[in-house]
Amino acid sequence: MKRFRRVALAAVLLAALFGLCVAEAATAADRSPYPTGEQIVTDYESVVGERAIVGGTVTATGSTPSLRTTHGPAAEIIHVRGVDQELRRGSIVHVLGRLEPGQAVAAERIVIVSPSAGAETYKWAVSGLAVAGFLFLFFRYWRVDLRAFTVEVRDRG
Amino acid sequence: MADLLSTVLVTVALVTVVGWTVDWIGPQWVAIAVGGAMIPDLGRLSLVVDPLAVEAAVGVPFDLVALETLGGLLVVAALITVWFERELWQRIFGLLVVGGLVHLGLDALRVFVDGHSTDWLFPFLPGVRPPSPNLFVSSDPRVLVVAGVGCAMVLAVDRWVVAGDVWGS
Repeated sequence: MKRFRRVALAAVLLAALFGLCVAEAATAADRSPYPTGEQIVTDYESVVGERAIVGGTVTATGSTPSLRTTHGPAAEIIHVRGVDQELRRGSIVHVLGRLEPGQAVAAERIVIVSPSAGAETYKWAVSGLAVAGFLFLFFRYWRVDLRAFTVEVRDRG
Repeated sequence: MADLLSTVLVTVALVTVVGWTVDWIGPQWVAIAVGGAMIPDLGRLSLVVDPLAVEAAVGVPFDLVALETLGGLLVVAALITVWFERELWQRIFGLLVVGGLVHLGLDALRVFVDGHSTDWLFPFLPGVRPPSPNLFVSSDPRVLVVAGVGCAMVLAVDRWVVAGDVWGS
């Protein structure tokens, strides 16, 4: 395939991907049965009384622990009521419950996604290992021909 | 998401098993499927490319979460495929999608606080969140142990039984 046609096709697909990212973001609130993270962080009062999933990092423990939930650079501290388990500072949790006035959620269910900052580090470390393994495997069997602008198999046998 | 290494190991195991009945699937094709398994993780580029900054620049809503959906997988797989030789496109695209589906499928099995996975079938079934069996959380190291042992067993069978290299010759 000619280089120009290949680049043109990639450009069309890139445009399609951009469109998909726009469509996803534009319809996210309509598709979700819950308020979005953006609504919770930037316009909390508008979603008080609604059932929501709040995800965040535990910043304070005790009988009413607090979560820091973010949307881009914006963040909100949400207090969690009705907690029936010990939450550790620094752990990442998801809380399903009803949003109450005063930035609080009455928890129906809590899932600890990452029990500590160490667990997150572990996840990133093994993921890095996976990327390194893939690159090794890929370039063992495939090579990039810069002149032809294409990827070829090394051994056709 | 399950950790990426577990996803890769499960992909290697599954594609290797498929290779026992499909002649043309060899290690170079397993590598392509592994690449496909990484496609949904491209959504994590949002840690580098701030979607809000893109939104502000282009003036429309924008979110890389789309890359973690079936639609995103198909488009990115096609985008990668076009850089390979034309006669390989069908196999490349197919294996990239298979790898990506392993990733999305594993993701749909993890623990969700309301028992339903994300609407990863977007844009084909927007808003549909299939129920999850809530099997694991992504940071649980036991997932990697199970995936590693399973993959090692498959590779052992592949080398010493299927390839007939019982004596390591």
